[in-house]
Amino acid sequence: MIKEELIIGGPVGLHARPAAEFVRLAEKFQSRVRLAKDGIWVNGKSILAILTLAAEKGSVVTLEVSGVDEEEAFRVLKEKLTQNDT
Amino acid sequence: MIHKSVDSRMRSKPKEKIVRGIPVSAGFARGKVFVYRLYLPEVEERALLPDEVAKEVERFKKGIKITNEDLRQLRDRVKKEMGRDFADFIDVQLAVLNDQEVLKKTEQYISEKLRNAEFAYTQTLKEISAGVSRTGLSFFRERFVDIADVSARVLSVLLGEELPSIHTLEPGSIIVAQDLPPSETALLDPKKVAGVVLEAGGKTSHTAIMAKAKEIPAVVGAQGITREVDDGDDVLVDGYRGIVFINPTPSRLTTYKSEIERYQAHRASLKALVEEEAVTLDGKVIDLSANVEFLIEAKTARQNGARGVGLFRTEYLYLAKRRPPTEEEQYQVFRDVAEMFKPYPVIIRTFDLGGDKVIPGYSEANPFLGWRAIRLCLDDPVLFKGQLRAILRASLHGNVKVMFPMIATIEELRRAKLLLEEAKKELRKEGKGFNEQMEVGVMIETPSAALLAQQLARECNFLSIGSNDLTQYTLAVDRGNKLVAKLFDHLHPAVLQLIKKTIDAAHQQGVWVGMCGEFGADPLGIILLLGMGIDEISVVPGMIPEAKSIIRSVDTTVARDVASQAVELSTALEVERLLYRELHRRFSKLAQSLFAVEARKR
Repeated sequence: MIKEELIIGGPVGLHARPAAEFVRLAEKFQSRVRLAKDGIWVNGKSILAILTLAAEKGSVVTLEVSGVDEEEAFRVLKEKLTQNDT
Repeated sequence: MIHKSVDSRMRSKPKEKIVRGIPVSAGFARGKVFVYRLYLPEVEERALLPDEVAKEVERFKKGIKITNEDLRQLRDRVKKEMGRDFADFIDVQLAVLNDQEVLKKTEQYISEKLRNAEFAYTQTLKEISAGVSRTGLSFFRERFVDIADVSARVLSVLLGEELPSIHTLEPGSIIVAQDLPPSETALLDPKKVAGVVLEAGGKTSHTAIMAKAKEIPAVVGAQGITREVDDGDDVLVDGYRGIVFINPTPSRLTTYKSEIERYQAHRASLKALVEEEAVTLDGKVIDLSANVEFLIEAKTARQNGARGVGLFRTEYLYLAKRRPPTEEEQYQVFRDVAEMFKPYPVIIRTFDLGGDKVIPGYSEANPFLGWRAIRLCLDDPVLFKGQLRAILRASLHGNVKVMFPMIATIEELRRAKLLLEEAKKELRKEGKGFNEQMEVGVMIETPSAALLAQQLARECNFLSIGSNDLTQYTLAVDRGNKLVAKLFDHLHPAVLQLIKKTIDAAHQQGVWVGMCGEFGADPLGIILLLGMGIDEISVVPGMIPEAKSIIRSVDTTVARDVASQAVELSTALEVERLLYRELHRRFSKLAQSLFAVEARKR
């Protein structure tokens, strides 16, 4: 299991479209993907659950990935969450 | 609500009501109202016997599968008709539909609580969105229409109900709505939808763009209209002036009848001009091109006979995604447009962000005088160079030119050109092709740039006047501010002098000069531009035929005389009076056919 606290990048944080893109990436992996903010854990493969986190740009989120392909999955998903796109 | 509708049916002669909004798609329409409401099917709670569970779960899965097929089909259609960016909205809806958490919990609900699929699905959605109420409401609200649309689709499939949708309308209907989700906008069919009236929206909403492209008369920002009408009401939509008449009186209909007939005759005469050239009576050919933001507008522009794109806006690529688009994403869009217009030019304007095109999450005290357009790009060379590389690569596929917005100093032009050279060097090193001779232009939108037009023209290949910002900065008026908007007038002599100075300076330096602001779509403005010697005029796609018919009925020597008088006047009102007088005196043929002049007078 890999777990790390990250700061959300991007101009708007995890809004609908970035969240949809995140889920699409997460679903490519077998590993379980979870996200937490303020102590609340949600399924990282559920767009509605992710939206309930309301993770604005700059907020701190914990990404947890566990499973056979966790290393690759963690790398890709971390990049998606933290990228600043500038 | 119910009260009111009973009331209105009991009255023998319903009273005429007038609602005003913003005209976004010209034309007139009369028909019966269809009020589009967010559809929330009634769901009943039904208990299951344990041996019914497996069948119920299967039924739920099938419902999701059918909805998937519907939405995918819709996405492909939207992608084809409106471009990739619009399809992204439906991708979000697909992600909501296939949300693992929702699917898993619904199935659990069915099997553990022994309840029917519709009820289990509704309860699950409620449960998941209940987690939102703390901080994230705005996140949800933003996409509320999309999410509600998905659940309505699933429920209607499960219930075997027909989703009340725009494609089941009676022909000739007028759609009235608070707002339309993208999945519905995509289905607007001119054969069935005679007109559209929305409470929400601005000139650049999806609905406005679609309506204009499909030539469906439309009015947006019509506040309160959904409370004023019921299904089946008789309405008249004036998409020219942005007025909606509910239950129009016989005398109103008579007045409009002759206007509609004249309008239709006028349209027919414009259609006949599509293949003709935009040439003045004395033989000067004007490059009449289009201002374009979306692929669908480019198609309309092409059909209307545009000889190129005089202004291709790129902000949407950034704002719609709410993140900077990648080089590849931009390249694909630029290439598509370049290929569509080949051999005619496509002038791509680099990001004009900031000002009123706000970057999400960023704000400043005085945005129009702040960090916008070229300033922002020069401070973010990675973003800027990515765009320049995309434009350069697209230049292989057509006649592409690049143009920098909001230039106020020569240094800005020089620095932008330096970055363009760097981008070229990178591409050469990577072995990627581009047009080495791609033309570089400067937008003249600040008084400073107009005054320095001579010096700017020496260091670029063309100038293009952006009259909206030029007017705003010259008169120091923000036209988005209702208190001062009436002071905004591009016919002001101060603005005219700067336009004339720019045109003269360009010609002295031997470069061509165009107009891509709303000045070029104003019939009176076109006369002045022709008189000042403009080479190119770029207008919204729908205005091309009208602009062409104006150009074809003007003699530039007469126009020159009028323009030289106009720049000497003291007030905008004097300029307008002069132009109306001359219009009737020396361009009488034009005056008769000018529908738009009447609309301008209001």
